Amino acid sequence: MNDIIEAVDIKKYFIKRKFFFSSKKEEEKAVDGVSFTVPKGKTFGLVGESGCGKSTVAKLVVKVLAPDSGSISVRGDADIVFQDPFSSLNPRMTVRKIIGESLFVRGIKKDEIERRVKETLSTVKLGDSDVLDKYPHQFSGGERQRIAIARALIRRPEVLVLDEPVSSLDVSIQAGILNLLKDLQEELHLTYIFISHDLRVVEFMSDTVAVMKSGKFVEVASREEIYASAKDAYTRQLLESIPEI
Amino acid sequence: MDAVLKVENLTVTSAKRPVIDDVSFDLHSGEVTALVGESGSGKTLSALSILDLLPSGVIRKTGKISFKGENIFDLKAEELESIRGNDIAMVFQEPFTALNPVMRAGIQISEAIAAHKRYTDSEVKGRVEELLDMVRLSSQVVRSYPHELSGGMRQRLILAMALSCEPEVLILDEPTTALDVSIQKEILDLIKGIQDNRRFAILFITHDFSVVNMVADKVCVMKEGRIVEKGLKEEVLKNPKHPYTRKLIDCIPRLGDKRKRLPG
Repeated sequence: MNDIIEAVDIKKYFIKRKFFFSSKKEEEKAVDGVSFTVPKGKTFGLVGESGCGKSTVAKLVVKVLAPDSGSISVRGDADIVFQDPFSSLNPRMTVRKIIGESLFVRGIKKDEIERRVKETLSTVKLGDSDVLDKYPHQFSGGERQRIAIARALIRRPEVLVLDEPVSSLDVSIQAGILNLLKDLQEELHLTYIFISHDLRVVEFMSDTVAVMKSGKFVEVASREEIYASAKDAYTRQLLESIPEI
Repeated sequence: MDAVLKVENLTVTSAKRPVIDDVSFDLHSGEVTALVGESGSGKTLSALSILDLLPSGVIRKTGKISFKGENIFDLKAEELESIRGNDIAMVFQEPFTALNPVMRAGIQISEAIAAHKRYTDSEVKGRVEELLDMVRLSSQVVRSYPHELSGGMRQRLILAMALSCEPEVLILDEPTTALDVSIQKEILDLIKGIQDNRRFAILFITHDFSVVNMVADKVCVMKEGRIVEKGLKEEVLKNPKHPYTRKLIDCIPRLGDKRKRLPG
């Protein structure tokens, strides 16, 4: 079986109080019965508007959250790259520490960490040695996102979850990061979950696309099918709102 | 038709280098002029120059910005105060930070009006309702706090505040960058609709040519402080002359894109 990720009917509900002192509780169905599989080396694209639950799915895949029901299994490690390269890097840590931290906490020796940090930095095309002692604020948005990708890759995960990885970047920098992600996928046989609100970017990156709304998948199809012949009305609405050149 | 605002040979230097280098463009009533460029191109600083809101690191500025026949750089502080928010309004990047989190929406709009107009309470109330209607927000929004509104609704609220004194020039700095693509379309359609009804000039700052295509009449492309290309939107999009313009257009993925790699 070639599937690296298998999710079966996962649900994640959050309980919120109506307001601070209230005893009345509301259930927010962030993820409401979602199933999908992702074969090795492929990209599963997840598209939807803010609040649809896609980031919650991301957190379930990397096991930051556990589902309330259903199951999600990943054959190997999964790491994550977030949207905002400014807030996702600790401003008080050097690049060396940021990238090496996940190895450090596993007791790996300093020399080995240094070697792997350098190796991973050159994979994301930031191989200059004096990058290691610098702090996040000394880099551009695109460079910071490369650092975030290096941090995610250093453990050599099977899966990378990319939650809006280019939405905060200028268009030509976006293009550079998307190209890098494609190259990395080929070189390292990575499996991706690629999340975005922008259908154009999802189409460019993905093999299979799921359109999410209010915690559910309203349509799941191959990239070609979604764009050529979307069946669901919401999907078509999203397609129509895309600005064209 | 005469330009309502003219930027002529604007050069702004900071300690290190010119951040705006001999930039000229005109704004005309009823038109949207897009200022396109990436981070560091000088587009936001150009907009801030129009309101003479340059940051303190600026050493020198030369050139002229004419509004209604006067040079902005020659105006006294009180004269500038009466222009900002009133005749020339600006919506800054990161719109959420422009909203006071502990004030209800209605009061924030009233404040924007009261800063420049001597209206009675009932006139202000009427104007607030009119503005909410113009940006297609329900009048119930008056009682809401910013965190209770979605991103698109907050952007509409800020637009209402910017339009409250009927400016002749509206500057929008990346107004849809933080919004989902589908909400972006709604906001852009709204802006164009409002401009169709009330004639004012719009300076629209963005890094995204697909947004330019949706909203602009004219385009100025900025790179490292200079304007590298200028013209009507259709012409620039169809026949970009400068390689940087071409790159900005080509690097955007499009639906049905067969390319495996993006240029740039």
